[in-house]
Amino acid sequence: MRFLPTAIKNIFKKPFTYKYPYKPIILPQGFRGDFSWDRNKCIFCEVCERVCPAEAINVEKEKKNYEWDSGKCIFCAQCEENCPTKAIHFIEKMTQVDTERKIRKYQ
Amino acid sequence: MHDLMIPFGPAHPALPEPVYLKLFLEGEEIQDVDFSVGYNHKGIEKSLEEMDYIKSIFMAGRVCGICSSAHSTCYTQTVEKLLNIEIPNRARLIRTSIFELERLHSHLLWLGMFGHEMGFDTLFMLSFREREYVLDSLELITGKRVVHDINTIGGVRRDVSQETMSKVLKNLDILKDKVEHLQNLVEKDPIIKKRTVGIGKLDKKDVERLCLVGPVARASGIPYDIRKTDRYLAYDDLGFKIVVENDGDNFARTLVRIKEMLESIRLVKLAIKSIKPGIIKNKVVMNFPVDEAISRVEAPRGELIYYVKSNGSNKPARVKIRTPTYANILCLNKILVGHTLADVPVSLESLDPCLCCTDRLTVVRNGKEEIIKLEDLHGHH
Amino acid sequence: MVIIEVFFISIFLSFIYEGIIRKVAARMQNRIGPPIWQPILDFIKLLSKERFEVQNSNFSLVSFLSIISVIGLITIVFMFPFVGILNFNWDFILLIYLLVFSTACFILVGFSFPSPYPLIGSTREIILLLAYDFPLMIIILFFGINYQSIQFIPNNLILSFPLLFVSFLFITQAKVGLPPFNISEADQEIAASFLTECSGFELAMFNLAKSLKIFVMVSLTTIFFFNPPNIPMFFLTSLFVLFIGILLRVILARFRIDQGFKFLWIFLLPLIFIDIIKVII
Repeated sequence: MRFLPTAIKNIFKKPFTYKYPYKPIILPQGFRGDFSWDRNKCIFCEVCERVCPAEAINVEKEKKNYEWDSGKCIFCAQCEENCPTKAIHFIEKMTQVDTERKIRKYQ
Repeated sequence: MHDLMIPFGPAHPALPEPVYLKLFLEGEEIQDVDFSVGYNHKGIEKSLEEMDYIKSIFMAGRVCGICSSAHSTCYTQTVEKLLNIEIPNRARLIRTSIFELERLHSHLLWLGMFGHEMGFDTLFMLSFREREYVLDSLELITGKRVVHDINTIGGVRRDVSQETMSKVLKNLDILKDKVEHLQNLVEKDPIIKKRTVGIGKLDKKDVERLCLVGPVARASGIPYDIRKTDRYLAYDDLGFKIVVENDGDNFARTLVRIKEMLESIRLVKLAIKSIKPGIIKNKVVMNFPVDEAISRVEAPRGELIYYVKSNGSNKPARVKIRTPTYANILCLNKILVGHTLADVPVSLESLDPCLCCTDRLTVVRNGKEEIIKLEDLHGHH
Repeated sequence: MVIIEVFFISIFLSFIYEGIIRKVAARMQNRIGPPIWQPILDFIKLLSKERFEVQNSNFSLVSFLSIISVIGLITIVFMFPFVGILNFNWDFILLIYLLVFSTACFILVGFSFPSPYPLIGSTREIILLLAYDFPLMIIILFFGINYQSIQFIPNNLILSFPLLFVSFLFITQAKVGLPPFNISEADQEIAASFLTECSGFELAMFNLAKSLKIFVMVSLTTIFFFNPPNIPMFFLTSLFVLFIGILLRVILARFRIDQGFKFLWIFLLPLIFIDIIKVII
């Protein structure tokens, strides 16, 4: 019974729902979103591969290949913290939805 | 004697997590209850032995989704006890505020599920709307909404800026009015009182005999809270009151959790205002002695115990976790027998079961139970 | 023919009423609800799903009952004043029979399956039927003795019998299965009661029967207590009565079966007798 005045007031208020993805969303700074790797800064020291708890990064030093598995990554940002040249950064953008498993290969 | 057996089975619309209850009914009154857990066994204790200490902190934070920071903080505290190191003051206050924000989040989610079990969908929608303010605050501080990953050995991983702190304080001011409005709604509603007062009663003697923990014990008149006994993190400096009720039925457990929410809001505001400039992480030399350590915290559901044993290498030798729901679920027989089928979801939800933390391994051979020793399981060592 | 038009219009209107209930209840809870035509889309989707025949159940009886309950409810629509296809003097007795008939179909469905959940749902529905049918029959018989047929009910009876209107609102909530009386369809305790084992065509028909009950009971409330002269006023007062029903749904939790029984007999029967005795004396 105590909810009666709120119920009637709520009919005239705007709904609380945020209509994402029809409305764009502004994420706060420091949000751990998508993975990004800068080829020019990387020195292929393989520290990120060793620190990752989920074994999601695969580095090949001779052929200069770099792979990141989005299905295994737990977005903990250990690689970002331990990289000596700051080549890895988690940007403020949501990861995309896809229909099949893919490993992102950087050339 | 019963004439109907209803399987309140592993998959049921009332249960958020799987547990198997066998209810023996006569008419609509319950005569006997039999239950079994273990549908969510993930093998985390074994996989924690395969990783080194820093990687295993991330694994320990994923035992449960709702009480993630509680597990992570308790594990880090145990490992720091092994190494015998202290953490700086700024890190202690940041850890405390995230711990209490998570208690707020967990209790608001519980209030929504409690209303849903009674058929009161409006309370469910309202609580989940207020929860958005807490999740926004957590996202500003740590970068993620539910599983935070903010602890490391020696301190915290991220710093909080002045702008973030003022935004979080503004969110908490809005939230305090809304939680008081919810308290008014729940305490004086006639139908909620009719369905919860006098049902699922637990006396003081039952609580002591069955060793129950958390808000379930505090609603029966026993002032037992680890934040007061062990004085970990920053609770000693901030000053803290225990919330106790005396009736022991479903309604008392509701009141305890709502008052704890108001106390948490006060603690977080005080902790954030008393943060002083400083470092957030101490330098740690990872020389592990051959030793064992035990530590406990007050998770949102009760007392959580971690035991870590190390043998000198950089991986733990054995980790044992005792979650609060594992202790609380033994009282199901006492609170369900004698009441009707309509009271089963309400009473079960008032214990706040988080069954993904509870796992138990029982081997039944030829109809008898057996206990397997640790050395037989570690056959390859 | 006029019969076919009434048939389709009442089915369409019952879906729209159910959609209005979901949309307005969502707005009261501060969220965006589903669109108003959502029950029509649900019905069409369910017709294309597979029908499972459960072993050891009386499945042909269930299929037969699903169609009969819909037809029984649409027959009541033919008695409304401006539809006027069936008008004769003893239509109040036929009204009581048809209202109980649809609930009896649901109860029989619950006993046809070998599972515990429909069994408990049906026993609860029997107890609830006893609870709300006694006041309902008293009210309908009172109208039957004073005015010979539904066609002769005067306008705006709410001004002379306000307490009867309040009791009729609560009885509507109990009959239709909206909170606080959705005891027999409590899906937190008994997992969809008598509809647990139905799928496909039968489930679509039973959902249609539940929506038709809402349409019939709301229209009956409007005819008994307001009896507006033309069709647009009829819809406006129906929407007003529906709005009060939605308010009760949103602000109240669910009763237990014994508490519901006590409420319906101990609280409503004195209200009814007060208003009836005013006329007799």
